[in-house]
Amino acid sequence: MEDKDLIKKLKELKKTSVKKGFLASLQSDLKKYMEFYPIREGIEIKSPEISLFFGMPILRIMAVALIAILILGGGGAVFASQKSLPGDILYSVKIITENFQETFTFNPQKKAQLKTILAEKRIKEMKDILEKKDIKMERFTIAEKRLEKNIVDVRQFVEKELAEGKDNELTKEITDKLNNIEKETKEYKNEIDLIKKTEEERLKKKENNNSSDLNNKGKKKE
Amino acid sequence: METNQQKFEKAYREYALGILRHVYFRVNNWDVAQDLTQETFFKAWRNIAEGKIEEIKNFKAFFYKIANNTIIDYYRSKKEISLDGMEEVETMAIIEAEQENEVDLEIEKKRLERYLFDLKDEYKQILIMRYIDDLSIKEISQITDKTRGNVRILIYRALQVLKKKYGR
Repeated sequence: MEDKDLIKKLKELKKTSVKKGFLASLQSDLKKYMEFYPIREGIEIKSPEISLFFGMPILRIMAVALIAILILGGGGAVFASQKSLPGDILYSVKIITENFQETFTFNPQKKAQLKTILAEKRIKEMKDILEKKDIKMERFTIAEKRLEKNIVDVRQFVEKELAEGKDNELTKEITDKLNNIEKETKEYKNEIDLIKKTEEERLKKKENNNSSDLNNKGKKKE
Repeated sequence: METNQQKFEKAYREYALGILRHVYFRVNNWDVAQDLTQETFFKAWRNIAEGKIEEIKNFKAFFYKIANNTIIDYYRSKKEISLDGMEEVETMAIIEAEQENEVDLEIEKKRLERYLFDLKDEYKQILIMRYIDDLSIKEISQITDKTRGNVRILIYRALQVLKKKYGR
């Protein structure tokens, strides 16, 4: 007999009929018991995880639903989201698909490679934001945060590999890419800092002009 | 907002059937299974009411863990299981099966049940949890305080022992 045949037979035991009348009477006994034996003051059962759908817990249901939406109806949205930038409506779809990719990449080397690719994407986003006429600082902050996290993760991976004596081609390739990413990030940061500074100065100037206007108006009135 | 009692009752409705079935396969006697199931839910409530448990992340694992301890206590107090009683159960089952005209299938099922019951408790418990209660490896590991790797190994070993006996 094969293992699978035995497992099938074991699973069939599930069909064994159970006296459900007993469960109903136990439920009413339990109710009385709970009243007789009340819970001590201040105790509260925190967030019980009750399965709602085919015995699946809520979080898993949400994950399955999300995957289903992405596969069945969201294919176009996923595709369209790839060009979105931080702050755009579709950007969250882009991030969700990336997170899925990361979660389901189990090989540490492939994960590090993926994180490098994602970091490069963030740099491309920064470049695209800089090319826009209306530059919003919040957009940079979003991309910057994710980029920094990726850099830290990949750097840690490389250090761990080197500590374990795995100084191979792949580690070298990832290190080279990482160095490029860090170099580019620095360049963009300088550019962003310059924009920030100019913007701050412009606002200060505007503020000063406003206050001197007010002073002049006050003097005229006198 | 739901009260503690309502939360508990909801969890009872969700898992009581599975717990009763689990206990039955562990003790192979409906009367004992019903007593132990009742004891399980009363104990579970007492644990909460007395504040021994502050947070229940997974009611299913919580109930199975208590059921498991209750079964162990039952066997400790029993020490010896009457073999005559077991044979009687089997004979009764055969008569019932004949009456229902599903002799072969029922006998086969009872035979498997009997061999399952004859396994040492650790093996019996793990096979029931995995294939009859449909618990995940993670859940079994939480209930039995074993690592996931150990759970997998136990399932494999238990299957091999049962296969040897049942396939004979």
